[in-house]
Amino acid sequence: MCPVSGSDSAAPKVASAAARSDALVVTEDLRKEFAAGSEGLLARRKLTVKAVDGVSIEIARGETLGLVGESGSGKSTLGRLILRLIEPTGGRIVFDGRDLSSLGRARMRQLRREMQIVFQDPYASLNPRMRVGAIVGEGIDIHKLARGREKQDRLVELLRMVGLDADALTRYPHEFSGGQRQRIGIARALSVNPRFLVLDEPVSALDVSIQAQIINLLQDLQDRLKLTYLFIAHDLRVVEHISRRVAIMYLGKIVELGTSDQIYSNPRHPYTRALLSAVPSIDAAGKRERIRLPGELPSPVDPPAGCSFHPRCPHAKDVCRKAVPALESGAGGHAVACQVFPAP
Amino acid sequence: MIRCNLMQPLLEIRDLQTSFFTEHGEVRVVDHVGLSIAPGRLMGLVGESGSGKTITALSIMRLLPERARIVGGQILFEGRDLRQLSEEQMRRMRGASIAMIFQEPMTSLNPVFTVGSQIAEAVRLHQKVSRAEARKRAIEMLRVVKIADPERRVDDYPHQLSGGMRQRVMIAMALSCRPKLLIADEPTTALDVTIQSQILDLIRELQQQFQLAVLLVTHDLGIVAEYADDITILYASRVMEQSSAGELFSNPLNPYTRALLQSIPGAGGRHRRLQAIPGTIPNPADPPPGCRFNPRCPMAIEDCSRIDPPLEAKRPNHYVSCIRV
Ligand SMILES: Nc1ncnc2c1ncn2[C@@H]1O[C@H](COP(=O)(O)OP(=O)(O)OP(=O)(O)O)[C@@H](O)[C@H]1O
Ligand SMILES: Nc1ncnc2c1ncn2[C@@H]1O[C@H](COP(=O)(O)OP(=O)(O)OP(=O)(O)O)[C@@H](O)[C@H]1O
Ligand code: SF4
Ligand SMILES: [Mg+2]
Ligand SMILES: [Mg+2]
Repeated sequence: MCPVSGSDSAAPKVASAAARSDALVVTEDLRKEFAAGSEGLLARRKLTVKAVDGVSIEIARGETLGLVGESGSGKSTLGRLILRLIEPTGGRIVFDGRDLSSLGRARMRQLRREMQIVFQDPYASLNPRMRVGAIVGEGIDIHKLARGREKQDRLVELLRMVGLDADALTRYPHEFSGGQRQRIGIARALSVNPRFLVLDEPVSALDVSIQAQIINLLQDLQDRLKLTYLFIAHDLRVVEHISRRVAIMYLGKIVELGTSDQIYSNPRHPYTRALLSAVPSIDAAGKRERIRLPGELPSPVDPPAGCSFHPRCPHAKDVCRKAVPALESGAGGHAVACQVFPAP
Repeated sequence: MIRCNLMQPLLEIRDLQTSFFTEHGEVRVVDHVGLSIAPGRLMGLVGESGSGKTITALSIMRLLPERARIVGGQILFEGRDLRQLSEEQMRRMRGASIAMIFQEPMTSLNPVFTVGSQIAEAVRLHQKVSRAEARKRAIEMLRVVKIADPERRVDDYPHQLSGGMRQRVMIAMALSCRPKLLIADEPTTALDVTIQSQILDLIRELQQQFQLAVLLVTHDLGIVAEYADDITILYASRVMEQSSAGELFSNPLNPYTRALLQSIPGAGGRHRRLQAIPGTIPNPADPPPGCRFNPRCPMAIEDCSRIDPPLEAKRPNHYVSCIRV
């Protein structure tokens, strides 16, 4: 599309095992710490939140990886790290065989077009002083994808895809309902023909019928253009529906990873099982046996020793308080980080 | 409209009409909406994106955006019409009796104050307590909404929190007022299901213990099925169906309600195409004549585009707006 001149365009291809596979996105031991004030009378001990704590995942070309987890477990942070919207504290990100941290500015800017994000909070991520046409068209201008009539047609087409009228183009974000704003964010991300999309709760504010339209749209685009998605959501039914594989996150770490079938039909990790048991549903209203997690949520500043889930885990044994379980792969790639229920 | 047996409704909306006034004239976005909620009950308000749920909620609070105005109807709270209150009386009402959890936390949290000071302020609005006491309450409320490490988080600014934490701060603020009526606009969209169910359980406890009445705006029919006593289904500014939750799920009568139930993922196989309702919700500036749903309705006949269907009882305490039922 937009050819880049200059020497830094040819970042060295990475030759690690992971990067040689068909993965479009690979993270290796990715970490992000945020400062969280300091403690003590003289404030000598600096505190940090380990928002993302050693995450290694791969997302294959054309695949959707679903990312589910406790609120505050680091999902949005992981998504933003992968796009390099924030800088990691450690670890690396490989996109299409290239180590992102070694890329120069110009090349990174070009890659930006290929990697887009739909932000979790639609209102905060739309400039209130810009009209929708300018918001959705900004990327088209920056990357010189279309002009004049052609650009106008493209904008109308993008809005139509997300179920909005063309007259939205001249309106401001505050004039829309919550779900309509969310769809503006989706249209903006799609405007530059990305290859990889981080979708952070993209349909959380949508009712089921529009949710269905958007999900069908995302799947059609994926089929047609081989798009790759990291799909972050709380709605486990939506995730099951759209994802080929699903990762479960707890306190900065991936605790279980597998195909939708493995996760939903044979969940291993106690946190995953608690999650699945808590999905509200029409059929099971009032009848469901919900696994309740006792105790306080652990502090990410001062996570529990051993398995960080142990204070709330109904199955915790002595070993859980001591050793940190690693994410270990078993049959069919089903990986679990648990010492009592290892991968099958 | 649902008649609450025995109990006087705490909130009764009658024939509410709210419009935006734009360059192109009046655009009606809440059209003859009525509902009532008794103390201790939870009303689920469900409907397509853009159908007028938030504007209905904001009408009750009298916090409408610029250019929007209530043009008709009554909003009776404990028998008094909120529309008749002075601005000052209404402000006191919002502090003490009616609280709202807004759909987008960032629009109602102030980025330059810590979340603790914002909750403490909400506490002090309706209770005369010292600053130190208010701060203690704020920490307690953060614990109640399941935020880890509340003693430390109380001094965080909104941008330091995750999406779901911000949402819970909003919930903490609303509940710290000990309201009689809680209006919750999509309060758990950013929460994982375990925390979501803990928060909804908490709201249910408050319903039972303190007779809290709740208007819960949500698009999650699973939540409605588990937590709502009554349900109102909105479509394009109008009420399509209204009944108790049990009745609605065992006998959905309006074709829009039925289509909605079929769009839920998980109702069929994995990866199958979801059954979206074809077409889009009409632009409120240019609604179709007759039944608002007729252009998309699989059951529509010619009369549907001519007759405005009234909301009528088709079964005991089950109100439906559809000429084909
Ligand atoms: N800019 C920041 N400064 C300080 N802490 C932050 C910042 N951004 C995130 N955090 C912290 O990092 C942790 C992970 O946050 P993140 O937003 O990634 O969670 P999440 O999994 O997306 O949660 P949710 O489901 O609620 O959106 C939280 O403890 C959060 O408070
Ligand atoms: N400030 C505004 N100016 C003009 N129109 C508006 C404004 N706010 C909302 N609207 C319009 O009013 C209608 C109802 O909006 P409302 O926010 O009540 O929808 P909703 O049912 O809450 O939808 P969602 O589920 O997407 O939040 C929509 O058509 C919307 O476009
Ligand atoms: S390692 Fe132990 S505490 Fe952790 S999830 Fe497994 S059983 Fe529970
Ligand atoms: Mg998030
Ligand atoms: Mg809304």
